[in-house]
Amino acid sequence: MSGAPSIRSNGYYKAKRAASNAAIHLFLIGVALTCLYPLLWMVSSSLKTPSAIFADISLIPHPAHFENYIHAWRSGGFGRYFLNSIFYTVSVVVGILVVASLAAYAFSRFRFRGRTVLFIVFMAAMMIPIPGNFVALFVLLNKLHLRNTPLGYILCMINVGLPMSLFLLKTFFDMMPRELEDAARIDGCSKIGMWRHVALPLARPVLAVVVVFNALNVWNEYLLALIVFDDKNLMPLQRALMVFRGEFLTHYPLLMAGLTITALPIIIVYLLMHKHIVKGVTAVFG
Amino acid sequence: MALTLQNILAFLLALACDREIRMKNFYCLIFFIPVVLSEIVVGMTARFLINDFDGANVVNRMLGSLGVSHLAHPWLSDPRTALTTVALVHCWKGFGWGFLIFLAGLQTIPRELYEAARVDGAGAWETFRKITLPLIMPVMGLVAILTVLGTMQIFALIIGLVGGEFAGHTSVPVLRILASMQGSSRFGYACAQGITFGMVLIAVSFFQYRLSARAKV
Repeated sequence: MSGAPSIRSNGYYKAKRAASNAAIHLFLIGVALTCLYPLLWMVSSSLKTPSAIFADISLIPHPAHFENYIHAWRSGGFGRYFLNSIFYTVSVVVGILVVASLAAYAFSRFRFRGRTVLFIVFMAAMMIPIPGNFVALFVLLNKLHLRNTPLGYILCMINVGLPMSLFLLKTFFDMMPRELEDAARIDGCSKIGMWRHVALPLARPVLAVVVVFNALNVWNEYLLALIVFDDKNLMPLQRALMVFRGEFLTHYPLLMAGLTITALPIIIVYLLMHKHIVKGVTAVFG
Repeated sequence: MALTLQNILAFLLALACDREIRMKNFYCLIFFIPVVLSEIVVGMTARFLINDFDGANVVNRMLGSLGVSHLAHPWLSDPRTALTTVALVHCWKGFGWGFLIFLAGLQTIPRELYEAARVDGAGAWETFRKITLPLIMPVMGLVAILTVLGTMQIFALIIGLVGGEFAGHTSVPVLRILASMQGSSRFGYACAQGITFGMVLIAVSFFQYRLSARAKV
């Protein structure tokens, strides 16, 4: 008598729990589907013919036209834009790594006049977003004859990524124990040597965060690419996509193939480096 | 603009993912994908899905197959709905950010508090209201301001979606500045606009800095 209600309520709670779990899963799966659907759609329509793309809205293309990619890569010029984007991304990330790690190390370890002021100036630059100052940047680049050159774009993008990277790295170096460097100094290591052989290897996790974030940022950047480049041969993918759409408005499969070419590296990098991205977000905002 | 909807969605999702459920990592993985995609890619794909005259009109066809075809609408070419559509797409792209930050915030709440509340006989709703909500408030402020900052700077998405200013209905600060720079090459005016806009952004982020500094104490 006394046991019966408790058994029933136990079963009741279990059922209720299972129901609420199912509801949560349903909700999450629904949102996940809406996240994936447009992407699947983009890929599938890049494999269709221009006429099928409007007539057939199913996700599986039939038959699949992989030659769309070859067309987009060759005659659409996406091969060249792709290489441009890779070149800009790699140069900017390398530039940021060198400058930010050296500067962060110096800010963290050396005492020199104006250290705090200089660091604050760097951080203040972080507060000024590109949309607020790109007009001045445009004029400056023009005067330096750096507009419409890869160098101008790369320098600007290094500048964009620098403050955040500097901040992350300095925070890390500040927490790093000094004993290791003392040991290195006793062994006759120079300051550059300490940076190279002690600080950098230890900072590898932070460097990974810096690399991932800056790479994503450069790859996806549009505003600066818009004001810097006029020459089609120099444009990165994002900018080229807009030009392509302007010229071949109706050729949707090629455009979709271009979009897929643009999105794919980012998705691959993201899937591989997901852990670092989460860590980065938590480090900056947590 | 997209602020409320986006953050409510992000918060609900984070709350759901905060529990011990299966495939948690999988959901986290998926929800952040729209964030890492570029605005141009998202804008163009969305335009193609939504638009009727130069797109595949998938959204309207779906509405039709759900039996609510009277809701079908030229979403992007109607001036009244263009901005809302842009906001919705922006929301789709951006909620992953909020989700991730909320999740990080929720996971810092010590489990002991929940257990203590359960021992004291608090129900699920009460636990949520008395423990989760107060502890997550600072994070909410942070996410809200980050969303405001992000939303004020959108423009590539609009270029991808609508192709530019749509008779003033989808004009945002950055597009305005660009228009006065390239369209009429009034550099001084564009620069002044830029500085004003920059000041607004700096004010907002300063506010955010104060808020997050207080949250850490």
